[in-house]
Amino acid sequence: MTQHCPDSQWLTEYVAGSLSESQALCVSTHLNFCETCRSQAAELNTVGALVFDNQAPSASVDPAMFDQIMNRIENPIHTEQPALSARPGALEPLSAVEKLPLAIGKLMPEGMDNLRWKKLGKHIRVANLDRLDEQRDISLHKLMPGGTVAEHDHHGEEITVVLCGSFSDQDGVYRAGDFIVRKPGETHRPMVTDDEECICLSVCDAPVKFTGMFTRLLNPLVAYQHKH
Amino acid sequence: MEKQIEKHSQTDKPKDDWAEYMLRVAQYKDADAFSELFSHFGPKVKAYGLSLNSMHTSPEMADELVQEVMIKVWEKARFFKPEKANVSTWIFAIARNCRIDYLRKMKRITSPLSADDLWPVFEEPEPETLTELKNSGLQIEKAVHNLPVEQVAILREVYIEGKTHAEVAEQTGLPLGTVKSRLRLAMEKLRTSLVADPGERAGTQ
Repeated sequence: MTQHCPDSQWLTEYVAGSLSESQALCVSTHLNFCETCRSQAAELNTVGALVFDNQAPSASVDPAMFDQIMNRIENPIHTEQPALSARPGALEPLSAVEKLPLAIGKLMPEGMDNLRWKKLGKHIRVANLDRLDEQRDISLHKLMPGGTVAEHDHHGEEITVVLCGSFSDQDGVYRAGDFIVRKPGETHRPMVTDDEECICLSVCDAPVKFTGMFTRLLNPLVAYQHKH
Repeated sequence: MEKQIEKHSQTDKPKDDWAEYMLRVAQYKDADAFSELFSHFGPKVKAYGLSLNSMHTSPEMADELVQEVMIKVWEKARFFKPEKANVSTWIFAIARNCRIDYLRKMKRITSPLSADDLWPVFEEPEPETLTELKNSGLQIEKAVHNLPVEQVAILREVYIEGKTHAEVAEQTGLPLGTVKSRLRLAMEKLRTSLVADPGERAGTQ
């Protein structure tokens, strides 16, 4: 049972397609876990379709376009790159996470173990995934049992979705599927609650003024490393 | 019109008339059925393309969108499940994803993922609540037309023009909270007016 869900604004913007790709990744990951939000999103989608269906018929479409379409269907140009897919077994370390969306698997085609995990202190590992848009970094955080992250604040908005295991902070306990948004300036001190490791997807604003390794300073868990 | 005749001649067919056409495309690659779908949904997709709040919006882009969407409708027809979604809900989601991919192409963003990976549309089940009720075309039109103008306007900005809540707030000068509450009210209203007035549904269920 997930408790921490995206609010209606997040879901609406997701359904309307106005979220950035990396934000959408977080919402769609959450939806994989949360039936309540899934049905809410489907309902919003229905609302969108109602409005779509009721658009004023202002735009006319050239009937000749139909032949063009049929022509393209009959003579497909294969410009598409071979579809990326997760290597078999790529998600094995996450096999406990049945509901991992395929999209995350596609972001690590070589498998989770082959990501470049960086050690941040005894209990934390971080691996960056390919960006989906310019403004945000995407990473996986692995917190080992007993791990505590020093209190830190957030320089940009950070979205975290728990993929497996659980962690807690002063505001509560977060379990698989939970969707947490931290605004800039909020501070917290995450702690792993179970005996099993906790893996989270995290998407952070990456303001343009910081580049290269300074970008990493913005990542709250990375920031920890530099304080000690 | 053919569609009209079908509508009245069959009583226990799928709740969504366009579903028949989709099934004919899926099963028999029926170009006539596809042509009907094109005539009906093409202009809606084009209007949807033209409405996008972006510097990349243009008539060419909208025409390209119509083609992309219709090709996808043809290719993915077998994924359409009339018991799970209605045709316009399904096509709306396809149009949204094609528009996102088009925009990304224009911005030259290369990404290992396509919109379909992030906004999966080909297996999404729908909840009972609105799905069951939304299918008698007239009812829906009425429900939307009965909404207060400002609620319709905001639904349009969010779902058709693709603005974030913050953009709507900024451009209309409304506080973010008002934007949210109008959307919520519109949703409530659609839900109740469809539930309260199921109309001809009673005869077909």
